[in-house]
Amino acid sequence: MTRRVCLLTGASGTFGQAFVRRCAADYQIVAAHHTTPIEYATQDQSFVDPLRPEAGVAENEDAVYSIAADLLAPDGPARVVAETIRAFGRIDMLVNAAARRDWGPLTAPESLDALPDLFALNVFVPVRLAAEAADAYWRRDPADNARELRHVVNLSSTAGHYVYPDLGQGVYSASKAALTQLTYHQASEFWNLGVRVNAVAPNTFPGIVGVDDVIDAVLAFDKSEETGTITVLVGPS
Amino acid sequence: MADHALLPRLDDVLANRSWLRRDRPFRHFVARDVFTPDFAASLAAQLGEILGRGLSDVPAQGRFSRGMKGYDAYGIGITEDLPAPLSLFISAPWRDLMCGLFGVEKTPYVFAGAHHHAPWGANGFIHNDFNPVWFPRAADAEEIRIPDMALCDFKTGAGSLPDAGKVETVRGAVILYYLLNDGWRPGDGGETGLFHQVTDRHEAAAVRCPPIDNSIVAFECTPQSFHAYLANRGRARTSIIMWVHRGVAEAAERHGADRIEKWR
Repeated sequence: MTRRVCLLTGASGTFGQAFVRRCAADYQIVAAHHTTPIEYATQDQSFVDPLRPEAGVAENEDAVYSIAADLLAPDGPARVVAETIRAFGRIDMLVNAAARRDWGPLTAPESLDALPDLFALNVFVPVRLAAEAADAYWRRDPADNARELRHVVNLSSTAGHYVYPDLGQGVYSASKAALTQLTYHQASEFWNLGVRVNAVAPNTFPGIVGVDDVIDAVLAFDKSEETGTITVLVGPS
Repeated sequence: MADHALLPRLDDVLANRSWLRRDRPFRHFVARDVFTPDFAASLAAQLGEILGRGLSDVPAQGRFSRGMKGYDAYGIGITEDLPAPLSLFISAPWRDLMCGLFGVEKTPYVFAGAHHHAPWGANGFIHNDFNPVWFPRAADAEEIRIPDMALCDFKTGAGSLPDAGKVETVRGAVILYYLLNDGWRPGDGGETGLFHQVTDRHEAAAVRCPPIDNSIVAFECTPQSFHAYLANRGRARTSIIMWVHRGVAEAAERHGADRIEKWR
């Protein structure tokens, strides 16, 4: 059976690495990362048994396709989408996990300096990537998109829903609130394309919420027909 | 000699048999959760006890000491009097693993130690480890020999040994094993940076290998294997380092005799 093509951003982050390790066998993952390479087999990397270097290693069968890209570059999102389509012919699931977590007082120069890039990566890039995917692929056949349950998952945060005072999360929190709100609008506008849009908003992970719980919530959307839903993972009560 | 009969089989303590090979900026391997939890804990306990004896700013037997010129770190050698589990790193099976992984000529000559960087340690200098190292000559190919500064200086070969009693080698491959760095998070620094060029800035490391406990980075020592310690912030960083050594002839044939980096 042909594996679904999942374009994952932030692939070298905590969520991204865990998602790759857990899901590489089930999905054809296109792992977009910035300067930190991912720790998994790719078209350029392979696993070796240190005690039997000449032998094959099973995990190499599920190699992901790695794209090193600066998503903040003007052509970053377009390039990533184009390379995904060129390599695999389609995008079934777009997981927007790339994010910055600059925390600091709202009057601190470093917080103010971080504002443009933080909002660009946390908010503008998910919008641009989904728009690029729509233009490059999803507009071709909305009925097929609906049949194939194609969709977008934005990785937001409980910081976008609640205020955790005195942690310096003001700018980050605003960006995640923006992403959550955009998810609702994307769901509405992508309806006619047959593409669903949802979000997962976890509390701190790992720590308060398990990384596997976040992955479970993302994968649940891949098997559902929901759109415009935000799964909030607060953690144990 | 350490009693290697007390060492467990590598098969039994290597938890991760899938080490990731990357080719940029030069061929290297990374792996996490390398040893079983019990074995990793025993390594940490043994080295932690040695760390607990205190740090010395002058050479001091049995303690982490300063003595590596131009390197902001404390070090201690892993010697034959140290029992398992640390003696694993100067054992034949571990030597064989390293030589097999990189296709490096198998010789008796190995060197292992541990490095400890105090918080706010400085960047190390970018270098390739493609250096000559002198050893007392091993009696036979099955023996494992570590340097002995009392007999011959590992950098120059100077000492009491006659020429026939010592041998010049070249570093063949190196592995760093990270431990006692519990709680490390991105932003703490202390990574091992891998570089395209010796003239690169430390901030421009092509790959930053994080010092996550029970993980490794390993690579063949070549004229292009540029690497350096990257400055740490408020957290100390500890690692075990181990080299296998190849003959000068093999090093010259593979990479050029003129590329062997003389010690400064």
